[in-house]
Amino acid sequence: MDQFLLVVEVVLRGLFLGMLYALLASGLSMVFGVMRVVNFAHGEFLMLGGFLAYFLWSLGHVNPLLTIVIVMPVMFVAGMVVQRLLVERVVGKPVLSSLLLTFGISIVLMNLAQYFFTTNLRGIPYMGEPAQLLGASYARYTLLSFGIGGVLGTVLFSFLRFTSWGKAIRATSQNAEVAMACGIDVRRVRMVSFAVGAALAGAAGVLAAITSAVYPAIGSIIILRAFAVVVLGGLGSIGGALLGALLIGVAESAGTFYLSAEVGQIIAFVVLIMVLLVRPAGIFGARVEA
Amino acid sequence: MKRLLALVVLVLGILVLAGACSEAAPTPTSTPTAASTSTVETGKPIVIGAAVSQTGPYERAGLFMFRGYQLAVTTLNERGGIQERPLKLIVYDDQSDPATAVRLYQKLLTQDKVDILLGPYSSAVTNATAPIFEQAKMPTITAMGSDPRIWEGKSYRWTVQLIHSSRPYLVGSMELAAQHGAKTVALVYENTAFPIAMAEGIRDKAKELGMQIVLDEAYPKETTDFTPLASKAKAANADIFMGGGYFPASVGLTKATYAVNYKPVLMTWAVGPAEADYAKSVGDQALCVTGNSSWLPQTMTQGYITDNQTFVQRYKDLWHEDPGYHAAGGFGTVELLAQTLEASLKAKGAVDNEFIRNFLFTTETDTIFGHYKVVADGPNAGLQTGMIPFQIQWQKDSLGKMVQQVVHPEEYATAGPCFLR
Repeated sequence: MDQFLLVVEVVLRGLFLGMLYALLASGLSMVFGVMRVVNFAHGEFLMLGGFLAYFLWSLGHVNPLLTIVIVMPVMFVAGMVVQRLLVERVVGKPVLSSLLLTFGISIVLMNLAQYFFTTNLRGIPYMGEPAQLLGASYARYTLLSFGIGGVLGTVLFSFLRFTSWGKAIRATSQNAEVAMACGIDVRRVRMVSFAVGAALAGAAGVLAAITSAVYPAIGSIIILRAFAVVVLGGLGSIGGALLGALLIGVAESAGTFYLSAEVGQIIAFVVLIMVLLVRPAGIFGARVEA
Repeated sequence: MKRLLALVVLVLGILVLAGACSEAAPTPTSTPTAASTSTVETGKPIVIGAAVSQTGPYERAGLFMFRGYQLAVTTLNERGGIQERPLKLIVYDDQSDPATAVRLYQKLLTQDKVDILLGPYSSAVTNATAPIFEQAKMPTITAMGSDPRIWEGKSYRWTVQLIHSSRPYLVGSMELAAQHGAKTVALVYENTAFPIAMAEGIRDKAKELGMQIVLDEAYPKETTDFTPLASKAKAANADIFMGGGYFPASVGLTKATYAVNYKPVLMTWAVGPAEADYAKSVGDQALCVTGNSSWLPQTMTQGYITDNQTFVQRYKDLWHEDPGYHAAGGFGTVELLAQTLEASLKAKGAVDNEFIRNFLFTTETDTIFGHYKVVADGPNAGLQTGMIPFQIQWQKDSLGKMVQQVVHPEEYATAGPCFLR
């Protein structure tokens, strides 16, 4: 029984970790699906969201939980501006153009953060007390983070499924030219998709500030895992990103607990390779003609 | 027009990328040779080169060390330089990558033709770059390469260590916990040079104190979730949970320990607890956590440039925060360098590498960072042996505010140690 509860604990910890990856990866996947742009700057949106939450809490004395309500709209607008001014110009261009551009934006944002916020770690000590669940202790912020991730995932799913904007995003993701022929303003759809992705990354940043700490380089570290999640789930598939994130979170948690931390770190990529061997387009990815 | 704008944006991005990897000071006029004796010329700048981590995992500590370099060079220049020769600092960002640092030091030697070098940040980068210093016969003081294996058995002739070795980093905390009755240790550490060497010191000390190591595990530097490691330490019921690597890990490990409701007798992490931001990031969870501090602002050290209190005050005036030991180490490195440069200019009338090398390997002196004495000759030449590491601990003062106290060695202690159970 104890062993079973231990397995449950390891799996739950993995799911909690995976939810943070899911928030980041779902936006990344959506941006790729709609724009065919690999956004290297996505991790920096997480970093900016985390810093914004930290300053709202430390300077504005805003409840850490409520900062998410401010951070998401701010990051949404920031995403719109970045997309319209910069990223839109490389849509449809060779993939190297968008890679270079987003990589450049990533470096600029990271260095600006370092200049303005310094390299200090900024963490929000909030709800750190443990809570009992199925025989194990979890920090309250972990449960909170999972809950917020679940709510945002449901909202995103509903938005894409039931709203006209969501349908337009899915249509553009499937075939931009046909969507345009149907009267969808794909340019605006691209902007909204990018902004939604930035807002989700900002929310992930708030959770990162609460569960650990943020610093200028955090985006560049965490983005690698998000890319693994996106490729595993299938490029452009948001459901795939969610499933891939949870799978990688559990694999990482179990690998670290039962084997070693080093195995835990590479296991995400081992899972990725194994899935790609069986399904080269990822779990939910569609085949793309060369 | 759109294409033009896209091009401009791309070029800007590339420029910023290049800027991030480029020097923090203007390129100096070239000097004749890098590795040999520089020409005597009053008023001509002495060009000092270094690669320092300003981005990547070591950006935070690297930046502090760089500030120490900057402040020391600025102070010296305000006084008219060394023997009327001003100092010029060229610093590149090695992005926390040893291979990049190697390329940058080669560039400093062959293209920038600097007169003298300062070491990089971290043991991993120091280990990769020391052979470059040796090959170029360039005397180099390394501020933060604490891994003793960089020097042990290498018989280096040109590279010296300023900070004490990483082996005794946390052994003072182990002694305190042993006195409190601790018998078992859970050791987790980053799998890079400095924490690996620190772990060796912990294993040796555990053997000496009769403690049992019930968990001994390395983790990659990319690790962001430390709860599985804390769960393992809890499952092993270890009295001491210790090790770590750099600052983010200390925060992550502390939070994870509380997250899994694990209460060891003592938590002690290598880098992080000595920084004021540590307690800001983890709040009350910092209570009773110990860590290493190679330097303390209150110690009455005196270096070639200034005394410790003046350094602390000037640092605060400039950057509006308290300096940590990384900054003090950077400052102390330039103090030691300045002392050798002055001696060389006085004795030889030039920046003489052989003279400076002999000075560094045979002189026992002080900087604001602490005492300096290295092994002069033999297989471990260049290894620092004269410096004492402190153990600090977060405790609550009478007003309930979190403050750092020195708890080890006893002769420097400002308070007795506290334990979690």
